[in-house]
Amino acid sequence: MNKIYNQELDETYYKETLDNGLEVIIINKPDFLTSFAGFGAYYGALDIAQKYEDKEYNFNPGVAHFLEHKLFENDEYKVFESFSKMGCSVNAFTSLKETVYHFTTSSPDIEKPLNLLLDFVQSFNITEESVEKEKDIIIQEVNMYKQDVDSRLMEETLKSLYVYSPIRNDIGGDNESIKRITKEELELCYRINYHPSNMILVVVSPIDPNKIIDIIKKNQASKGFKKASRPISNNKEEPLEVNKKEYSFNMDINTPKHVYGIKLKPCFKDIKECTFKEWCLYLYLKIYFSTSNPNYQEWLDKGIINDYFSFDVDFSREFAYVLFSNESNDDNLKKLVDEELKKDLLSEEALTLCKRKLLGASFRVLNDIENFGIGYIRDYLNGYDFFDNIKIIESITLDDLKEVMKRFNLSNYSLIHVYPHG
Amino acid sequence: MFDYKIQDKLCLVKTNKYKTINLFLNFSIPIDIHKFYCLKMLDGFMGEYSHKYPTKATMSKARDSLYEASIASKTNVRNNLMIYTIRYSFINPKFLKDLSTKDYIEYFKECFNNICFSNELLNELKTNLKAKFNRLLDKPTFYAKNRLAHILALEDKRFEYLDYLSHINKIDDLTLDDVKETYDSLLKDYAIDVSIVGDYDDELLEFSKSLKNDKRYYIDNKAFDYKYYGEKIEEKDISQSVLTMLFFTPYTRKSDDFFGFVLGTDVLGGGPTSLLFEEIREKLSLCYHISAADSKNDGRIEITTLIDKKNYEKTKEEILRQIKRLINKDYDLAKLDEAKTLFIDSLRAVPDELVGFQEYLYRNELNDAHLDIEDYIEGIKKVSADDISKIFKNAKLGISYFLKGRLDE
Repeated sequence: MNKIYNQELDETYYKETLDNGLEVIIINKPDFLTSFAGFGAYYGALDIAQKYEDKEYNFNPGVAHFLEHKLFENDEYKVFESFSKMGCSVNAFTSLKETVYHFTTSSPDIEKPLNLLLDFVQSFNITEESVEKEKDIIIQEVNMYKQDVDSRLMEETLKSLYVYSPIRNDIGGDNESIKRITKEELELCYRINYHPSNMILVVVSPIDPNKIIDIIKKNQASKGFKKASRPISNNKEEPLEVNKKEYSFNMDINTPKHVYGIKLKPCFKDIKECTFKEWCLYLYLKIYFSTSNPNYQEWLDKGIINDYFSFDVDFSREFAYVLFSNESNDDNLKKLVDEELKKDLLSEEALTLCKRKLLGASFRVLNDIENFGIGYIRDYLNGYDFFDNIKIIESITLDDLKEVMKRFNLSNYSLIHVYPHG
Repeated sequence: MFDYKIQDKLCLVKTNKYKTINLFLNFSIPIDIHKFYCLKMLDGFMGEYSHKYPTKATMSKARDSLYEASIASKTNVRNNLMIYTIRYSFINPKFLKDLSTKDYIEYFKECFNNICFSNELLNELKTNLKAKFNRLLDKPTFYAKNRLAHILALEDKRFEYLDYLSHINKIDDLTLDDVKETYDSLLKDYAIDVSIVGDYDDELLEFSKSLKNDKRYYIDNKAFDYKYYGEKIEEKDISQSVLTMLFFTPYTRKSDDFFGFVLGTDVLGGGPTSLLFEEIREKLSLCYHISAADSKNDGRIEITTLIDKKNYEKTKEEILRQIKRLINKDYDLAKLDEAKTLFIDSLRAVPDELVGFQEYLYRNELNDAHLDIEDYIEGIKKVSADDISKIFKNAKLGISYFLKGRLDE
C-alpha cells in the first residue's frame, strides 16, 4: 500500500490498486470508534448510452438507480437483516455519475461487514417477480422528489438547459421508463458496470489499515475477477445552446423561486483541468455573490434577495453549469448577476479570505466519519481527491481567476421560475 | 486521547479526534411561545451582527479571516423547557500558523456581548424567518405535521411551538425591545450549562468558567394526557399524499419501561428491518418512505408515510395490523435481537458524534437522569418481547391525519 501523509490536515491515508483493478483507499482515523466503508461504481444516472468491448448499449433512464435498489436482494440471505445482526447501518445512493453502497459500525470487528458489503454488491441474484414489485416502490420514491419544490426546480432547470444529455432525466427515471425496465436489462448493466475495474472501495476507520487491506485482498482473490476495461459513455453530443430560454410552472407553494442557469462547455478530457477551473470559478463567484461582497447587505435590505440566495458551480467531463437561485416576488436575478459581474471586486485580500473559508470547511468535514466517508467517495468517483483539493485551492492566484472568468460565457442561459398557484 | 467530565455545570470532553474546538452554551428556559419566537429572532442576530461588525460583509471578513469560525444558535423544545443552544466552533489553532485561542475568544466575546440590535436588521430578520417557515411549509410532510400540531395545540399548548402556520403572521408583531429583553434575561435568569468539546487549552477553559450561571430547570417528562382527536382529512395541490398517525403512551425517559418504549418504536418502524418497512414497503409496495419515531420526553409515537391516496385505508389498516403483531408477539423474535444489536451499535458510536455526545450529556443533566451509555446499553439488552407487547397495549391512537393530494391521479 502506498502511504500518504497530508501535512496541512494532519491525516494519513493509504492507496492500492488490486490485481483485479479495484482501487482501495483507507483513511486511518485512530481516535474514533466508528468505521465507514463505501463501495462505489463509476456508474450513475447519466450512463444510459454506453460502449463496452466494441458494442453499443442503450438503456432506460433510471436503470442505475433501479439496480441499486435490487442489489439489496439476494436469494441466500437478507442484506439489511444481515447487516443489522452485526450492528451495522447500511445504505446506498445513486447520483448522476456514481452509485455507492456503504455501511457504518462502531464494532471493532470490521471483517464480517466488510466481506458482506463486497459480497452482496458483487453478486447479482434477483427474480423477475421482485423486479416487478420494486417498480411501485421506485415510482413512489420518484413522486416524492417530484413534489419537493427544490427538486422539481432543479429538474426543470436541467431540462431547460440541456437538449439531449441524460442529465435531463430524473435520477430515478420516470413512470414509463421504470415500467419498461426488465431483469435482463438490469443484469446487462450490472455486468458492464460492476466489475472491480470500474469500482472503488473507501474505508475510514480506526482499525489497522494493514488488517483492512488483508481482508479486502482475501475477499477479492476468492472471486477470480480478471482485469477488464471500463465502459465508456456514448451519449449523444450536446450542443452549447440551451433547450429553452425561459420556463415557468406553478406549484402549491408560498414564495416564487427563480433560477438563472448558465450552460458552459464541459472539460471533455482533462479532469484535473476541470477541477482547477471549477474551483477558480467558485472562488470568483464567492467573492461576488456571498456576504464577502459589501453590496450583499444592500441586496438584503432592499429585499432583492433573501437568505436563500445561492449559487452552484458544477463541472465535469459530461456537463458544466453555473446556477444562481433566489426567492422573490420580483424576478430580477439575471439583472442582478449580470450587472454585478461587470464590476471589479477582485483583490488579493478577498481571495485570501475565501481560501481561508474553504480551508476551514475542509477541516470541519473531517469531524464526522460517515459524512466525510460519503463526501470523499463521491468526490473521488467524480475525479478528484479531497486531499488534493487543498493544494489546488492554495495554488490559485488572482490571475487564474481572471483567466477563467475571461472565458465565462453568459450567453447560453435559461431562466426558470416556479410560482404559487393562482 | 478521549476523556470527559461534568462538574458544576461545566462539561468537558477532551479529545483530539476533532479538527475543531467547540464551545456550547446551553440555556434551559421554561416554555413560553412569545419567548420562543424572540429566541428565533435572536438566532438571526447571534454571530451575524455586532457593534464592531455591523454588516454581513464586515462580519464575513472577520469570520473568514478566522478560517470560518462559526457562531450559530437554535432552540429545541422538550416538554416544559426550551433549550437554547449557542454553538461556537473554530479550527484548532494548532493547525494554523497565525492564530491563537485568544483571537478566537476575542471574536466570540465581540459577537456574544456586543450584538448590534437595530430595527432595520430586525425587519430583515423577520423577512428571513418568514421565508424560512414558508420554505418548510412548502414541503408536504412538514406541512402535514404542522397541521397536525395545529389541531393538537387547541387542546394542549405544548404543541403550539410546532404550529408555525398559525404564528407566521405574529412574527411581524415582535419588537426590538422584545428581542433585547430576551437576550438580557438569558445570562441572568436562566440556567447555563457550558460544554467544551475538542483539544481545548487552559485559556478557553478559564473563559468558559466565567460564563456559568447557577440556576437550574429540569424537564418534567410529563406524558401527554390521552385524547382521541379522530380522523382528520385535508387536501393540498400535491401529487403524493401524506399519512401521519399519532399514538399516545404513558412512557417517558423517567418511566421504568423507557427502554422498551424506545426499542419497541424501533422494531415497529426504525429502519429497513422494521415491521413497517418490511411489510408495507417491501411486501405490499405501498410506499417508499415509512417510519415510526418516538418522543422521549412526552411518550408520543408518530408514524409517517407518503402514499397514493387510493391506498389510504389499506395503509392505515396495515399500520394497525403491525402494532397488533407487536402486542401479540406475532413476529420473528430474532427481529428484536437485530434491533437491539443495531441500537447498541448506534449508542456506542455516540462519543464519535461531536454535537450528539454533547447533547447526550446535557440531556442527562436536564432530565436529572445520569444514564451512562453503558447503562443505556444494559437497559436495551434487557428488553423482552413481553415488554414491547405491554408498551403497545398502552399505546392509543390519538389522531390519524391525512393530507390528500389533489393532483394524485
